[in-house]
Amino acid sequence: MKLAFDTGGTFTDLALLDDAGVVHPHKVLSTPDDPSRAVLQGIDELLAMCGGTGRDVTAIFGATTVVTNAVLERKGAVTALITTDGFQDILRIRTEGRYDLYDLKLQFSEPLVLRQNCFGAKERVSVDGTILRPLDEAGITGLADKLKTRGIEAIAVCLLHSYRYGNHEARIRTLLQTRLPGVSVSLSSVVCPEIREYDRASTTVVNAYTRPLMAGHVKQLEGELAQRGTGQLLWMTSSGGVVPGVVASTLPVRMIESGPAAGVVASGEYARRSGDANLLSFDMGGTTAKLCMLLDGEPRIVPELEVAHAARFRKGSGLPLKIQSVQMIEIGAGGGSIASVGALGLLAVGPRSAAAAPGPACYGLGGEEPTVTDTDLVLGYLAAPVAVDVASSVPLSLNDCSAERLDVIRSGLVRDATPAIEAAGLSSGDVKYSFSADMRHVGQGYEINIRLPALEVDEARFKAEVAEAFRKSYLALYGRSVVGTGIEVITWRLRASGPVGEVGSIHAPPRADGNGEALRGYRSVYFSEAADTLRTPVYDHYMLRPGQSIAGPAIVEQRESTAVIGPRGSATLDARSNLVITLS
Amino acid sequence: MEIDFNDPVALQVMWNRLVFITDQADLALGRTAFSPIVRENHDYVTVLMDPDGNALAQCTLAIPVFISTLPMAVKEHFFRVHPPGTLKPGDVLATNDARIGTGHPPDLVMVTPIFHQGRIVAYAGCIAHLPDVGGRPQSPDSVDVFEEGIRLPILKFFNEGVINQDVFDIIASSSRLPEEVLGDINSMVAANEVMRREVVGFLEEYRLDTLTDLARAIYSRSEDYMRRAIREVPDGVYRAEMKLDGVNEDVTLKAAVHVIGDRIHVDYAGTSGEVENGINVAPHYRIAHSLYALKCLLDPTSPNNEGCAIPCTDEAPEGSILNPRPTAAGAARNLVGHTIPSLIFRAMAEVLPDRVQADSGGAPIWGINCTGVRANGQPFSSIQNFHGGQGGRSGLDGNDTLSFPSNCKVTPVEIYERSVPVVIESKELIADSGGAGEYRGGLGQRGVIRNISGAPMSIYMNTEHVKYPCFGVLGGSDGAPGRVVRGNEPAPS
Repeated sequence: MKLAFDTGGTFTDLALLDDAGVVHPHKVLSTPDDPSRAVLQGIDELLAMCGGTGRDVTAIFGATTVVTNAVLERKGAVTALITTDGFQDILRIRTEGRYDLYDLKLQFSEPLVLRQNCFGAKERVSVDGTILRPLDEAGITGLADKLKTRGIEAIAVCLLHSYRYGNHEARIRTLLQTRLPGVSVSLSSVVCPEIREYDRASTTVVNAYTRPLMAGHVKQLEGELAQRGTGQLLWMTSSGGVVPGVVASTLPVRMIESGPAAGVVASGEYARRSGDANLLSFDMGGTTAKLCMLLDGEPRIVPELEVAHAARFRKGSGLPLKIQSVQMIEIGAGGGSIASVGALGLLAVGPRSAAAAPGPACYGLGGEEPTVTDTDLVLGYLAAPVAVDVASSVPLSLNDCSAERLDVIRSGLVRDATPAIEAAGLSSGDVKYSFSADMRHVGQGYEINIRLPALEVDEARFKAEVAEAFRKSYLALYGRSVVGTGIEVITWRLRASGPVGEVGSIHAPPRADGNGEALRGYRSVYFSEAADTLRTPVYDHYMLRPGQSIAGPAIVEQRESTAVIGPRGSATLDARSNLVITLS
Repeated sequence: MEIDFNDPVALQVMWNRLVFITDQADLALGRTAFSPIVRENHDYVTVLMDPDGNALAQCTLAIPVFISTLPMAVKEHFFRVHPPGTLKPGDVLATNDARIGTGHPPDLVMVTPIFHQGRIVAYAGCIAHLPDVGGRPQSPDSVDVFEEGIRLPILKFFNEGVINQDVFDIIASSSRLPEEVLGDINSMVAANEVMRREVVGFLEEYRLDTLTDLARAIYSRSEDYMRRAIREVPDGVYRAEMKLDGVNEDVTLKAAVHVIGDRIHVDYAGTSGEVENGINVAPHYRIAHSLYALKCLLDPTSPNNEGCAIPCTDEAPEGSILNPRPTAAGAARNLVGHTIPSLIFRAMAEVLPDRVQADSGGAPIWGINCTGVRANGQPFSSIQNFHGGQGGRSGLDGNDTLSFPSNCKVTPVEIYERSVPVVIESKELIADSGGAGEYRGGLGQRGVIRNISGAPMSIYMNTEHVKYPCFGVLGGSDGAPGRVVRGNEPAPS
């Protein structure tokens, strides 16, 4: 059997897939002071409920808000930032742009590093790699003592042009690590080797800030699970693949959207199974709803994300992160979002939320304003393969892409990915590599990601295929092609992934022994299509049988969620007990 | 299906959709652009206009004043030169005439008619700051408009979808950076095309023939709200003045804000006369700043459109620096224009103390334009922006280093050093520079740039507030004055 858990702010959700292919969900209260306690409690209870032991569990998949919440609630490590001297204020100067045109009272997310903990390293590398000023190593050793007396627990290093020339950063790490044992050092050239210093610094700082916490969490869980004799624990990243503990502990910034990404991956899997893999996934939480478009069961992966918005959902008010993540649209309409009439007399949903306390008015706990009703999607991300993302910035014109050069780049990336792949317990024969490139027209500043064909084809054909794929993708995105300008690659990416797990059927736990009555009763429900209240049957999802049809209007209740079928809809249960609603 | 455009849910959904369409176009423009000033600084806007040229929706992140100049350009100039009846699908019109657009020639104004069922249902518009249009690189040093670059009247860049190659050839041969400029223009065409495609899709989805009823609902709600907001301000005339360094002589700006029932009128009588150098403010640029300041004070939350502007008007004496002759130099008109919102806030400080903010170090932007030729013969030219801190606000300190009233991000150091052979040696906050007070101003910054090309380089400075620092309001102190230093010596600013 396999297990999965998702640590949330309020609840830790769990799911166990037994050997018969049945999913058993479970839910326990989270324990924010030590999130592993809730995970272990949930696992033990779930195993007891299903009559299994740790030894029966072949694999465990984890998603967590530990990283996100550390940032949102400012509970991460006491962190220092080392930049090129003269740029210590990089987190405060930001981009100098505003995220709202008319709001004079706008505010930004406070940096995670105090100003007095930002230090300059005397060094400078030019845009072409020339060392304009050698690294002042004595200055770094002196700094180590200061960091110690200040009680610094984690260090982020972000030097100018280190996206390509990372030697000074690496040297700083060596110098600090010998003097500050136990303090983790995150280098921007490792965390996200990409041009644009503010974004890179911001990403590296979030990584450093959350690293001790996540590393401790991973270690603790791995130790406890080893005692129970379970299979390996793998962690979900923001890009929808799973990685071993060693990656989760050293690059925690990649886990920042792990729960939502897991939801998207699960949606893709459900969709593939139901035969229609083009879909919009919808995941409603307490304060937001997240949507993702999947084409052919695959979400789009984008190279950036923003967290900790000072103004809800306003891009530019938070901390930018350059990490690979599942592209999701987040809107301020979750179960707890408050509906109101705005200044212009129009309906506004959110961004204010009743949150967990007082909660929606219907909880009867003191909430008085109307909120969107809580709904939740069934948890399930058992089908995610191991996936390790590595990248390298080697700008190269498409014309100069010889087979030899590509081979060197690709081999380098494979080498970078190998330790994590091995740590995940995969043998190299099982690994599938997907090689892609972020490309643009020469002179542009932003790229689009294009999957590269096999390198084995001859060079001319390879270039022609890549150019064609780029042009097609560019045209689809921007509606217009550029002629007469060359194409260049800025960043090369490799995703090394393991086989997609055989998960058997995913279906609801069978509560009915076949005799229960699915119809629970009737309720008066308002439907805008009818502009009236209709007498509506209420069904217990678990009592319905595969193949059974229901005509709208109807309500189908589950333990985790409620489905409302309008007067123009009808539903059938597929072979795995999924509710498939058709709108006429 | 009959749509009720006043239904609070239906209207909200459709309105958001129009805003989203302009944001989609915004993304297409920025992500495909070639020059750092467009793709990194976001010095451009996208606006959707109705068939009468009124602004219907605009991109969320933009240069505020470009937004109001676009509809003025369309209504007063584009319609006159190319009457709507003469336009065909696939036409793309554009001009960089400073008087028509935003007051200086680098800003290209582009308009694409959107046809649906054989009729023009809307116009897609965008403005972008091109990196070089010939002439003297952007600075206050010019003495007339002819010195500031090539001037293209309103021309058809595309005629029924066919490129007007002559226009592109003239632009390419007039610019120091032809590849960047042509690339950016291409991105502008693409952005307008995105708006066209999406608007047609929107009309088909809702089975609408035109946007007229939707536009009316948007304007009337917005106008009503703005009028209600003005009515809450006591009637009266609220005055302020401020001094600027100018170029060779001080400049005085004066404003009298007349609040009369549910409308508001700003009169700049008493303001200094037109000057010889390129800091004269063309009327469209002035009007846009007046409208912008009032919107910030009175209605900061609703999406901007033509309705918000109807109750607000302004005027400046003919021949003044805020209403100069058509040929007056204005390449660096932002050095004066950007200070208009601070002037209006100062005038309204006593009557709206909870809403105003003090003068800001980003008003105006300091633009440092490095220009020259590399050893390999390749010309370079790129502007790096520097912003001081935001003025203090009621209940809040100002933000450090913030673009206001413009909204230009700065080019990352790593990108700027790629475009221009310089090393930026530092970029750091200046302690105690924000202006003390109960709520202090945000901190300004110090930037050090070194020429490492091994050859001389022209650096065009766009600076202000060296002599007269940013002022506080409601008892707040002035901020620190600016300083320009070459080597260790003070340099001309």
